[in-house]
Amino acid sequence: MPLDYETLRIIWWVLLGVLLIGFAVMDGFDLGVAMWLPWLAKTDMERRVLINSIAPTWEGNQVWFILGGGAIFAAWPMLYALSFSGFYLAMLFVLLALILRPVGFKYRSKSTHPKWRSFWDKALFVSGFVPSLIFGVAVGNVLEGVPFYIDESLRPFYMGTFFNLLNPFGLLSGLLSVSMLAMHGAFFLNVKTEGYLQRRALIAAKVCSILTVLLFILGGIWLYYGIDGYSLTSIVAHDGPSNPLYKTVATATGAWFTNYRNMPALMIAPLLGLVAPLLAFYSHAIHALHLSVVPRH
Amino acid sequence: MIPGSDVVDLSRLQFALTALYHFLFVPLTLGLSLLLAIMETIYVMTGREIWRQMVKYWGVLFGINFVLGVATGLTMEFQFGTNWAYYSHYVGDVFGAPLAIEGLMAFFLEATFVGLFFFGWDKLSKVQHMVCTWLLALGTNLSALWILIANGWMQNPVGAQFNYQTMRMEVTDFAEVIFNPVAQAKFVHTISAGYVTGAIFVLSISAYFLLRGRNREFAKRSMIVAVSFGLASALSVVVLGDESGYLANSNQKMKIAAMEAMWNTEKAPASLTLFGIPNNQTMSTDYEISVPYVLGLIATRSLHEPLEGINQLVEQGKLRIRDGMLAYDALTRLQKDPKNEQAKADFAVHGDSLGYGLLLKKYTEKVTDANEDQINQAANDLKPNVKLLFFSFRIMVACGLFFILLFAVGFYLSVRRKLHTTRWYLHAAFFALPLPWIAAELGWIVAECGRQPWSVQGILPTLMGTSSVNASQVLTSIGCFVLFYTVLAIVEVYLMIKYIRLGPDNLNHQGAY
Repeated sequence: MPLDYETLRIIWWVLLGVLLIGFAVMDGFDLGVAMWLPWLAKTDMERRVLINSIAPTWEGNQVWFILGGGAIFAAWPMLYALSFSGFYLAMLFVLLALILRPVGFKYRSKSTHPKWRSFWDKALFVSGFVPSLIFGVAVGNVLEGVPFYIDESLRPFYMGTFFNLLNPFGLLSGLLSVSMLAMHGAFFLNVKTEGYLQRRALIAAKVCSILTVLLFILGGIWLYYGIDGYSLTSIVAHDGPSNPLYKTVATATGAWFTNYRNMPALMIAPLLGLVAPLLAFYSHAIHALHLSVVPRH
Repeated sequence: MIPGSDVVDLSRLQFALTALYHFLFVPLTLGLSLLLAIMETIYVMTGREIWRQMVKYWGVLFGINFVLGVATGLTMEFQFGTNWAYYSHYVGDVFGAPLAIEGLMAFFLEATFVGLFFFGWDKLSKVQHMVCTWLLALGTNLSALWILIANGWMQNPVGAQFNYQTMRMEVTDFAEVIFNPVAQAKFVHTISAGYVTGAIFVLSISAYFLLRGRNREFAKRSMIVAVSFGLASALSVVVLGDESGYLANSNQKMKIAAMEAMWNTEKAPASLTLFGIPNNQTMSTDYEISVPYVLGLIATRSLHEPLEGINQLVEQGKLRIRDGMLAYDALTRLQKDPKNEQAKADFAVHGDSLGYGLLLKKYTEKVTDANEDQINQAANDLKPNVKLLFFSFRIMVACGLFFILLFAVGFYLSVRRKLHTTRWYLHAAFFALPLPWIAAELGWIVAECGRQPWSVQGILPTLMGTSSVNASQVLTSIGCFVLFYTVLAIVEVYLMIKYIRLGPDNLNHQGAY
């Protein structure tokens, strides 16, 4: 083998990080914009403007998602197997919502009948809202820990149900995800559109950025005090075989923060998560102020 | 405990439904994207407006079809994880890689350039736009390449080995996975079938215009492109289908035997059964009409090599199953103690038959305690559904031969400049519309049902591959898919008919939203 196991693992971790961040940033625009479709755009013209802001690029953006999934499949088959089969119904809802998206974008314009259009508008809203919510709920549940076991042939068994996922912390994470992506989409619209639509988008973006910061802080406090984190207790063999049965873990309160204690530089990630929405909020506040003082040509 | 047979059957049903549905859209995407690129090249070379109009009009129909291909393709990726979790774990290391590369290479091309194709008409120069269309066609074809590399590996699992420490197949030689001869043959066979679908689609709808006496110039030119492109593709489908028959015989003897309903080994060279009704009970074929020598020539490319029959292959299977029991026994010892040298040595000898041992899981959880009866039952399972394969294969081949005839006659008529006026031909072309889809779906049935009882030939039985979910969950998802997919199919067909009726002159908007 040209590369040893340890190097391969580092490469795949980096790759996965890049792909999932790429997904959140790029496809986040489309999920966010789609969520605003019934709320920000008041006329058919505005709705078309809103859709056209993402129509040529959403498909390329969705590839990040497919690639992230493919990377997990190829490099962490067990994670792929367990998460998709364990979160069966949740995944089904994500899938059905994502099926609506390409169809909605393409078919909406194919008839001018108002009922046809309003049906696809709702479908597009669902296609943005449902995946945003469920991805957040899933991440929340992963932090809480999900009930499963693996037998000696490494067959995974998930013991919870769909409704176990909808617990308070999971829902909080889901809301955070929705408000973050809604903020993302609204700022995108603020850049891409003009007139009334832009003004409404800016207000929505600001509300969402404050909401995002609040939910993020609340989630962090909850995670620190209220949720037991996991840490590996067995020796980590970086070049050992990928078999979870060879490893042991223990739970402890605040254990999710161990890495921040060991390596404080990592704090930059959550801090950026807080500072960036605030900066976006203020920069646009200043921008708006400028506009009111300096008359446009 | 592996999941019960109801979960296995339901999961198979769901996969079959969603895969067959997905493949209603894929062949047309493959074929039309290339036809669009060809038409646009003619436009750029001649500068004549009518060719531009053709690209735009066929492009609208392409778009309506394309989105459903994209949307239903997502289901396939999800489904490996949701419904075939153990399969995903067991072979993800090998199977996931081509899927990931498909995303990286093919989807990025496809998704980026489909945007430019529809939105770039006014923003790009003629040549730039043509390059986008070619790259879109390249993307769709590359996507088929990687998917068929993944599927080819399931038929002929090369370049990978079982690792008892991780309980899964791991890649030993990725080049072997990529250059798998079965995958290459399947790829060319499948994309050619896609080109035929595209050509029939264009031919058939153009015939409709001509029969209605409208859009004559438009339809005439479209038909000429379709018959020439279609003739080349239809010949390639049949020639390369023959190639995959030859390759299948080296690794999937049972599939060939079942397709031909060859119950017992025949003296070389074997005869080809033209028609008959395979009988699962008597293990013989009623009302058989056969042509001597032909099958032996196709499958072995020689006059002396005998072809093995179903019963003989089942007998051989029993030996492999016994060997597999020893492999499973060694594996169980290795699971308890990975350092057990004796077990390692035993596994090295028998490990290749592990998959055959796993076939016994249907009858006994422990595998190693299987009795004579259970071994016989498991060996009997090695036989796929003979009747289904026999008929699917014959109908597919009949369609394939008909396409060659249809395009050849069309080509002849076009050389004689009578293509657009020969009404019986226009009728034939119009009614041929559903045939490429029937052929393609039956082709997949032959390929995938012919591989049963395996998910991965000789490695992982289908019944082992499912998720540990319960039947009601799978029923829920099947219900959702049936509902969703039916609505989408209705909308799709409605839009297709609407835009075909509107015709090229009445497109008020060109793909903008």
